[in-house]
Amino acid sequence: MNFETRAIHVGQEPDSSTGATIPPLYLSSTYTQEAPGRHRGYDYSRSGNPTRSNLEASLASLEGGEACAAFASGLAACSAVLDTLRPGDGVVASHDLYGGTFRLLDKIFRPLGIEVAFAESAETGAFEAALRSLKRPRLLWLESPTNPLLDILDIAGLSRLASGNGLVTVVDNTFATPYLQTPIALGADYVVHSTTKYLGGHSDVIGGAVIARSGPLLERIHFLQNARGAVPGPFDIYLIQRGIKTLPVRMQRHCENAHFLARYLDANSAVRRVIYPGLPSHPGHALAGRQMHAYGGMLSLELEGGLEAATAFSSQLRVFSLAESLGGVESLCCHPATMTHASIPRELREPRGVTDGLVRLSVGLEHIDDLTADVQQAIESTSSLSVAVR
Amino acid sequence: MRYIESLAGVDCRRQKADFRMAQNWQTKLIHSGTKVPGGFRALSVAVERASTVVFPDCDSAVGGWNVDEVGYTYGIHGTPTVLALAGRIAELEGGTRTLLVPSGLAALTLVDMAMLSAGSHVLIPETAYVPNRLLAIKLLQRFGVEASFYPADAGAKVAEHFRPNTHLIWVESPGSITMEVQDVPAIAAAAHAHGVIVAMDNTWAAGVLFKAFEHGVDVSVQALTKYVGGHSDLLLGSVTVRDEALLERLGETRARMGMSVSPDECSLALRGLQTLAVRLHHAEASALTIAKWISSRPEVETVLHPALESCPGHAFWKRDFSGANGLFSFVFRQGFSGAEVRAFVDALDLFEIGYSWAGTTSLAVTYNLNHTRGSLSYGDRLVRLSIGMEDTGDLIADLKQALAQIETAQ
Repeated sequence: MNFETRAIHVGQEPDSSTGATIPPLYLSSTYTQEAPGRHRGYDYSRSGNPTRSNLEASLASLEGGEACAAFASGLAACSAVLDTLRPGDGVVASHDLYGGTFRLLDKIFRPLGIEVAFAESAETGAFEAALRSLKRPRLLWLESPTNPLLDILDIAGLSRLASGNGLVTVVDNTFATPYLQTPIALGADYVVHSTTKYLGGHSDVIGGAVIARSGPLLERIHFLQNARGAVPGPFDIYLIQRGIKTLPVRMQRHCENAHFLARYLDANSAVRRVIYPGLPSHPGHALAGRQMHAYGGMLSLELEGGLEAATAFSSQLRVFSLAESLGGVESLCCHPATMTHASIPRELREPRGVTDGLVRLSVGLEHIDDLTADVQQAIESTSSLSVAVR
Repeated sequence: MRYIESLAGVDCRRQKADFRMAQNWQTKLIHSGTKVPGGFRALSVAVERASTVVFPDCDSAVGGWNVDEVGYTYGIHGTPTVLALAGRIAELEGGTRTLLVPSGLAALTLVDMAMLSAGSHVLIPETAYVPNRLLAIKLLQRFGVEASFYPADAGAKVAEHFRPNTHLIWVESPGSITMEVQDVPAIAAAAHAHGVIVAMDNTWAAGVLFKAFEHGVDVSVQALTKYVGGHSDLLLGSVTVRDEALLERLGETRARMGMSVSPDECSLALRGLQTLAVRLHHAEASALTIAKWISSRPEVETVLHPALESCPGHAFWKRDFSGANGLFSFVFRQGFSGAEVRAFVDALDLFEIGYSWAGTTSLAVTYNLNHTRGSLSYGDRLVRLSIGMEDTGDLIADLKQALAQIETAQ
């Protein structure tokens, strides 16, 4: 079955007792047992819940993995994967990383004795150097496209590097979604998601997931899902599952709109730099063309005039909402330096390109004419405030 | 740590001025002095549930029902969630106001009950949604309302069917199951010349592909259950008007009949609206591809899809509609028995068998039309498909294997 069909049908068998096309929500915390220890696979909803099983089956299928564990948030999912490490183990991570993942590595796992080395750039050589700097490298953590600079990493090449050195590869596939790229097919061992984003897709739910290449790889994660208890509730799961059903049609439009807007902004002399993997000027353009089905719904742009220009532009937008998060039906604008990436110190963030002037756009499903008109008026207002834009 | 810092500013302490009575914890369970910080601006509309609402003083409570001036008086008239959805439907349909009711059929009922009285006559297309016709025959006639049916292709000639007591005419375009597209402007002009109100079941167009009010319709009705909800997980109906004078009767009738709706359902419908454009876009393209594929099959006599020339009224679709959706029917050639047609549908794997339509899951259903469509002779050879969000190639492969199974059986 093709992706679009699996998005509708896997884990969504009509209810066998009533024929309901949409499977019911199982709100039960506990399950009645026939005899002590004799049950039908479910004994307590933290350990397992049929609504959650459905979502896990759906996500495993879409990512081409064997098993999935759903979590209460993307960070809970990331946390579970990192929790498989032991003191002294090392993590090699992307140079450009979601602030929450950085904080998890830096503030939670480093103090627990996990070594962390960041690649200096998107180049495979930079990851190799980081790997060599670690005493006991165990895990490679990638994002592609990265957040917020949208660098494209060679997932297949880096996965080979990792497996050749005894590391497992984890790809945060939140930006691309399985509709655009399936890291497991490219060699990754784990995929993590903030299901809050494109999978949920409507900015109304928080969730996360870990998908593993093989069942045994997920055993420890399943154990942690139950032992730590950061599980999502059935109501939230329902909204995520409902979002997945329109993931293909939404992603198509997100990508079309973002691609158009990137070209539009690129042609505007007031914008210093547009970062979008679909633009031929993007250093990862060719790689993205091979690795992804389309270039995604996220784009970043840099205005000259630093913080002041970025703040003015962000505040002037009317159709785009100024908000954290991404991947919803509504277009969102984020200023990474003060919002999503504020937890990364400026001295680390600036040299990597997350400048005060950088603005990240999550392009939604609105009509493209309304989106271009909105960025145009915001640029014009910003310019008229005589902020130094070129 | 930013988020935790911002929470530190939350003032959850008791606000004494608002909290004179509650001294005991049992009372505090019901009457809380807690104040949460204001300014929560979410992208999604909040789900606000309420049966009753409270008033600042007695005078406000006895002010009578005037939602515009008094504000909220009772949950039955809608909470902010309900009114948010109503407003969006009115906006999309180009109307001024929308009333929400618990189902599409409730919307049809509301229009009938508001516009008709004992002694009135209502006209309904022969091809209309069966429950609309049954409503007239089984219920309205008991209350002294006359109902009669007119051919879907009547156009301006519908005037021949008007009686002195005709108060309401229904149009449904395309017609349920057999998909006839009606000449709505011509029918509306004839109706208005006779002082007859024109109500339309605008569900197929999802309120956006056909601008009912621009084509002479007075009351536009939708089963929001279909494309607006879009995920086969809710029931809702809408009644939209442009003329405020009609609103008065509809609003009062709705309140008298207690047709209130659940904010939870409205919340799911609001969520459905957000993907309506991309879902319709996919459904239209996919259904057209599939319809054309079906029309090339030797087993098939005709495909009833408004965007294909083989569909009765196709020219009106081309003139009046801005697009199509995922719902259409096709008819097997004469010689195929009802049993064979049902065997074909049973053999489908991806298509679920079920009524309703416009969800993300593709559906198929057979109809026996021997007794309902006078001029048409599709018999029990008709299959209606609702094309969902699956991959088009997978759906065609499913139809192909099911056709092969009945060939084998022959």
